[in-house]
Amino acid sequence: MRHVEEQPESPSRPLTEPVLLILLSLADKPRHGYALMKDIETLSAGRVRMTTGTLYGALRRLLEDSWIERFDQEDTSREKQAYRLTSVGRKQMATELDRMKQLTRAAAARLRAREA
Amino acid sequence: MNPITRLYKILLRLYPRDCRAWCAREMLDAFEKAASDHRAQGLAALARFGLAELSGLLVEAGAAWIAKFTSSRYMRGFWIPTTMRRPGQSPEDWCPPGARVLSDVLEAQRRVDLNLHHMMDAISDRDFKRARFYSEEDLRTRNR
Repeated sequence: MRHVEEQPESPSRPLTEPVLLILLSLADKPRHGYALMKDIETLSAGRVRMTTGTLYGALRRLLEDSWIERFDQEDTSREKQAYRLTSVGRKQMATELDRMKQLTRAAAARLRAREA
Repeated sequence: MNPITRLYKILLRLYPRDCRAWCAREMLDAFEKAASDHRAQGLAALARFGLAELSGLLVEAGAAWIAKFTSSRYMRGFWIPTTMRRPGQSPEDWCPPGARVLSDVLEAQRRVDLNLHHMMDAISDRDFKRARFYSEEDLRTRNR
């Protein structure tokens, strides 16, 4: 019998940082591999520099879970295969962000209580 | 192709064949672009980049082999053919004999199966909220 109450679409455990960054990077528009690497570096203010191995390993797992999907980009760039979020991936990301917000609020409340 | 890219291309052979089929060319493209960025920053930056890429590649190639032997052949079989074909490449070039089926049908089938799997998992946990969510997701997938 499970004692932990889960939200309907909640992931079973917190997302890893590379996965969360990939999902965030794909949140506004589809991107291909190199664009993802650059955007993740920008998103994390240069703190996270993902290698191609790490990136494609994470992409493979996200494709398996159907959180992202591949499609043919209709432009003339060299890399025509791009990735975009699926509805499942978007929900998982929103759930994770809610979890982080809740944690941040709780932490801020604790800090305020200590200072007061 | 410069030596570092050539070396990277050789090391990509460490990945399982099915994994390499869909990601090797993309990885090489991304690596070439990133390497040219780092080359502009100097030799030290390029060396750091090369070491990080090498270690990342070795770790992920190992993870890909582990995934190959531990994940379901059924699941792998569904996503690999839909993701490995390159634009402009004819189905005859990429699809193994006997597996020539419409990729859209495969993709839809895979999603339906995944939703069903999650739904059954949720029911067995008596988590009916989650089961309802995947049931609705299943309806949406079938209607799409």
